[in-house]
Amino acid sequence: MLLVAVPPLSSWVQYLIEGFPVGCVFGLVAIGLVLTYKTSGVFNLAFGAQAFLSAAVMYSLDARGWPLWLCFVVSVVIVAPLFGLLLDRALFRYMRNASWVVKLVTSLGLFVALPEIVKALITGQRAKFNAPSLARLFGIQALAGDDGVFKIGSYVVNADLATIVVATVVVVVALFVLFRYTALGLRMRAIVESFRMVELAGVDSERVSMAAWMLSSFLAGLAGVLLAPLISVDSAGFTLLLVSAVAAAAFGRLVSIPVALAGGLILGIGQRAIIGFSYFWNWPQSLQTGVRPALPFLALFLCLIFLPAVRGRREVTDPLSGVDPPPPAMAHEYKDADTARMTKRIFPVFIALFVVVVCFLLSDLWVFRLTDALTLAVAFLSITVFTGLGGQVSLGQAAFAGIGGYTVANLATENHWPVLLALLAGIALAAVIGALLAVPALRLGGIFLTLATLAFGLMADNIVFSAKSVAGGAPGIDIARPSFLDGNSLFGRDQMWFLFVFACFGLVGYLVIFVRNGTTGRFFASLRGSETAAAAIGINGTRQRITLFALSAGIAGLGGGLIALQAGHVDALTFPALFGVAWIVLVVSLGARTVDGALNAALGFVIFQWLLGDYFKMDASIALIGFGFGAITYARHPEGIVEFRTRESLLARRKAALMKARIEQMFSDRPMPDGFLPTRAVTAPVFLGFVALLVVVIANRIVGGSDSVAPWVIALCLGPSLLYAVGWSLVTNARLTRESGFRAGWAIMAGAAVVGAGLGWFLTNVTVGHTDFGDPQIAIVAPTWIGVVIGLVAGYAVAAFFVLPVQVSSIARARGWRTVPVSWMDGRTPTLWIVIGTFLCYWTTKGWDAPFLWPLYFLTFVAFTVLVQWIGAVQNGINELAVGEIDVAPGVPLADDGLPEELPALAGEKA
Amino acid sequence: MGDVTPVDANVPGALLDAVGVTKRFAGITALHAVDLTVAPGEIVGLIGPNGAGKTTFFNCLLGILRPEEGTVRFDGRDVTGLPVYKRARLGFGRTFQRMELFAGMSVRDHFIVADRAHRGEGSLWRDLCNRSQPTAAENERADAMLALLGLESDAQRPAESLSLGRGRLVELGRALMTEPKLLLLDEPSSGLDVTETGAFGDRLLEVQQERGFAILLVEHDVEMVQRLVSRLYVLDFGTLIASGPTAEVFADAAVRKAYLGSVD
Repeated sequence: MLLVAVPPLSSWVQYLIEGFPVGCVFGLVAIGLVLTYKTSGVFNLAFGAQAFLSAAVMYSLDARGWPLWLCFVVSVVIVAPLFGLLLDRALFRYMRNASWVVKLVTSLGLFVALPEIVKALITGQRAKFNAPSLARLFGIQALAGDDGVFKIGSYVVNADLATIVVATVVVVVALFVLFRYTALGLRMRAIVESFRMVELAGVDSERVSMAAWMLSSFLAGLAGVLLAPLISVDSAGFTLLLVSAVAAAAFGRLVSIPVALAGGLILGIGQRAIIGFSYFWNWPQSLQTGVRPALPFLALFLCLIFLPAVRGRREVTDPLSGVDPPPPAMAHEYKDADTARMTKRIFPVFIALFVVVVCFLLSDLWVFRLTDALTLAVAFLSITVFTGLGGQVSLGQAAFAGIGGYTVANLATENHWPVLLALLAGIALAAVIGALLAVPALRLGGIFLTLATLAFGLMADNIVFSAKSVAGGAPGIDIARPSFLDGNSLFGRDQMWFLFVFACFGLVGYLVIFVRNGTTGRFFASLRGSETAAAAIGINGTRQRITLFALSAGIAGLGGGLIALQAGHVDALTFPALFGVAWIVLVVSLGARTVDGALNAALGFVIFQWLLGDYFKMDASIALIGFGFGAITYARHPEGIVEFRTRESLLARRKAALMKARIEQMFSDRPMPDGFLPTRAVTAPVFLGFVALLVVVIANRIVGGSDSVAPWVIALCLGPSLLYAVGWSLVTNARLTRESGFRAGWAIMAGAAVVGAGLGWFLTNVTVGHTDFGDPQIAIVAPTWIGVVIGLVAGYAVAAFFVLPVQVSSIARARGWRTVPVSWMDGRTPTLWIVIGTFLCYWTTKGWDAPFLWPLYFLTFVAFTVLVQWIGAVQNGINELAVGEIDVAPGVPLADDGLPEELPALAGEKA
Repeated sequence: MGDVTPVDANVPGALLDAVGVTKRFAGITALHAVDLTVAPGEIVGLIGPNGAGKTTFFNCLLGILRPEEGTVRFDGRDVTGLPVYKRARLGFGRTFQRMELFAGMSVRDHFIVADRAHRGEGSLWRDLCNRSQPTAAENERADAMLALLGLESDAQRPAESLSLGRGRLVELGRALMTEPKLLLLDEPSSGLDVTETGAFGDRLLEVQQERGFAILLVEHDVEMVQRLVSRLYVLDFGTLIASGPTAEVFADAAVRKAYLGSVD
C-alpha cells in the first residue's frame, strides 16, 4: 500500500496563520477590483499600478523624513482617492456606454504607463525603499507583546501582519455597512446595470460613479501601503499582486464582494501551504520556485474554466444601448474607385522603392532596426487576427510568440534541425497549443476570455519559459540564421535577412487580408456580431473559434521565431508575459483591424525606443508612457488611430472634390465670393520654407560633407515662411472677427504670446543646471533672447491653433449649418507638435551634442506637415463659409463619379 | 384543456414533430409535455400570454435548450440532441424577437454569409489562396433576395443603421438565404407599428407562397396571427391548452380566458 506522508497538524495551523494576512491583502485588492467592475463596468487592470502609486508616494515622503502618520494620510487618504477622481473625470466618464474592450484597453494603457510615470516623477528608476512598519501608526504595536509580536498558542504573528488583518476587517465591515444600509451603496449597485437607466430614475450617476472610483482607488492605496513591508516596493511585484487578486475576484465571478474576499484568503493560505508542502516533500528546486508564483494564475485559469457561473456568462448589455450611434465604417468603404485604383498602381512601386532604399542606402544598423520592427509586426498581426477579426482580446500573445521562439532555438541549436524546418515546427506547435487552449476557453466570452489568456501567458512565462530545459537557463541559447541568408555579392547578410523577414511579413499580411475578406473572416464577423444568429444560419461557432485561436497563435509563433532569429539568442527574459500586455495596447491603439495598423505599431515601437533611448538619451521606458496614453485615445477612436486618420483624409478628399465641382458649377461665370482663397496658394509658401531648408541641407551634405547647418541658415530658410504663416493668421483672424464678432480672440492670442515669452525667458534663465534626465553637467547655452522669441511664437501659435477654428465654427453655427468645417479639436495635433518642438529646443540648448541631425530634420518635416495641414484645414473651412456648406457625412448616397447625386443647394439660394 | 381536440401528435409526413417536450428549470416546469406538429408548407401559430413558455419551447425546438423529456423530429429525423448550427443546416431558419444583426456588416454581406454558411462552401484553405471572393452565382442569389424583399436601396448600408422594420426584413432575408424548410419567427411584429407589421406580413406571405416553406409563428399581434396562420397552438403555464384551426381556437373559452383575459 502506498503511503503519502502528510505534514503534521501543527504545520497546517502554521500555514493558516501565516497565509491569512497575505490572503487579506489579496482580498482587499479583489474587493477593489470587484467594486470598480460592479460600479463602472471597468475591469481595472491598472489597480496594481494604483497600489504602487500610493506605496511609492508613502515611502518617498517617509524617505524625506515626514512623520509616518502624515505620509499615510497624504498617500492613502488624499492622493489615492484624488487619483481615482482624476481617472473617473478625465477618462472613464467618457466611456460609460462604451464596450468592455474599450474600457479594458484603457485600463491596460494605465497599467503600462502608470508605473513608468511614478518612476519618472516620484521614485526614480531604481529607487529602493525600506518600508517602515505601519503597526506603530495604528497602535497595534502597543497591543503586541514585549517582543513586538503576537502569540497565538505557540505560533507567532508579527505586528505588520496583524495590522493587515485588522485593516481588512475594518474595511470589510465598512463596505458591508455602505452597501447594505446607505443610499450611496444602493446607487452604486444600480448603476452597473445601466448608467442611463439610473439617470432616468433621477439619480446623479456621475456623482455615484465618482464616489465609487475614489473608494476603489482608496482601497488600492491601502492595499499598496499594507503590502509594501511584505514585498519590495517595485512595479513588477505589484503587478503580480494584481493578478493574484484577479484570481480571487474570479472566485466571486467578478461581482460578489464576500466571495472575492474569501477567494483572496484561500489563495493566500494556499500559497503558504504550497511552500510548506514543497519543503515537506522535498520537491525539486525548479518546481519549488515555479509553483508558488504560478498558483494564482493556475487558480484563475481553473476558476474561469470550471466555475459554472463564469462559463457561458455573457456581458451585461445595457438595455438602453440601442440609442448609441453605430460605429463608423472601415476606411476602405469610403474609398472611391479612383483612389482604390491609384493605390493599387502605386503600391508595388512604393514597396520596390522601400526595398531598394533599405537594401542599398540605409546603414546596417538601420536595416537591423527595421528588421526588428518587421519581426514584431509579424507577431502583431496575430493580434490583428485575434482582436481585429475575432473581436476578442488576448493578453497571452507573448506566450505564443515564446512557444515559437523557444521551439526554434531548441530544435535548431540543441537538436541541429534546419532553421526553416524548426521555424515551421514552432508555428505548428504554437497553433496546436492555441487550438488546445481554445477548447477550455470555448464558452468564455469577453473579459473572462481575456483573463484566461492573461493567466495562460503568466503560467507559460513563470513555469515553462523559466525552465532551464526550455530557455537554456542563465546563458540562454544562441541561434544561427539559415545559411542561405548569409549574404552574397549584391546583398549583405543583414540585408538578406531583412528581405526574408519582409517577405514573411508580406506573406502573413496578405494572408490576413485574404482571411478577413474570405469566408472565415465573414464568419468571424458574424460571430462577433451575434453568436446566436450565426448559429441560426448554420455557422459552427466552436470550429470557428478553434480556427481563430490556432491561426492567431500560429502567426504569433512565426513572429516569435523571427524575433528569436533576429536577436540570435533567447533566454528566459526574451518573451516576458508583460510584453503581451504592452503589445495589445500598442496594436489596438494604432488600429487592430488593419495590417498597416500592426506595421505602424511595430515601427512606432522600435523607432520611438531608439529616438528616446539612443538619440535623446532618455530612459527608454518613457516610450511606454506614450504608448499607454496612446491606448487611452482608443476610447475615442475604437477603430484605431491609423484607421481614423485614413478615414478623415478620405473624407477630406471627398469634400475637396465636392468643393471643386461646386465652384465649377456655380462660380464659373461670376467672381469668387469674398474670403475665398485657393487652399494651395496659402499652404505652398509655408511649405516652401521647409523645402528650402532641405535643399540647403542636401547641398551642404554634398558640398561640405556635413549634416549640420549654421543656425542663421536655418532661420533664413524657415523664418520667412513662418512669418508668412503668422501674417496669414493675423489677416484671417481680422476678417473672421468682423463676421463673428469674437473680439476676445485677439486678447487670447496676445496673452498666450506674452505667457510663452515669459516661459521662454524662465526656461533659459532660471533653471540653469537642471539635473533631471540624468546628466548633472549640462547647462543652458542658448542666449535668453532666443528662448523669449521661441516662447513668443509658440505661445501665439498655440492660441491661434484654437482661436481660428473656433471663429470659423461659430460662424458656421450662427448660420445654422448641420456640420462645422473645422473645430477646436483641429488645434490639438499642431499644439502637440509645438510642445514636442519647444521641448526639443530646450533639450538641444542644454549643450546636448547630437550624434547626427537628420532625425531632427525629419521631426521638422513632420511638424511642418502638421502646420500646413492645419492651415489648409482652416482655409478650407473659410472657403466653405464662402461657397456654402458641404455635407459629406457618411451615408450620403454617391453617384458613380463620387459626387452626391444632387449637390446641396446654397443657403442663400434655397427656395 | 379546451373543447378543441388536439391534433394527433404523430402526423405521418409532418415536417416538424415535437412530442412530449418537457423542460424544467431548477424545479420549475417551464414546459409540460408539449406536442406540436407542422406539416410541410403550412403556417402554424403559437400564442400564449407572457411567461407561458413560448420562448422556452422555441429554444427547445432550435437546440438552444435541451428538453428533459420528449423528442423533436424534423423531416423524419430525430434532432433532439443536435446543436443549433446542425439544425440550421437541416433546414431550420429563424428570426429574433430582439434584433440580432451582424453589426458592421452590410445587408448584402448578411445574405452572402448566410448563403455560404448554408452551402458549407469556403474553407480556411480557400481563404488563404484568396479564392473566397463572392462568386457570380452567390451575387446573383443575394441580389435576388434583395429584390425579393425590396432591400436593393439598402444593400450596401451597414445593418445597424437600418430602421427596425427594415432590420426585420434583413433577418428574414438572412434566414431565407439558408433555404429553410421551416421558418421560425419569434414575435416579428414586436417594436413595429401597424403599417410596418402589415407590410412585413404581406412580404412574408408573398415569399412563402413563392417558395412554399413552412412557418411556425410566435406572435402577440392577434391581427397578424389571424391573417397569416391557418392552425394555432395556445400555451399557458407551460401546457398546451388548445390547438386547431385559427378561428376555432380563438372562439375557445379557455383560450379567451387565458390569453385575452375575459370570459364572455
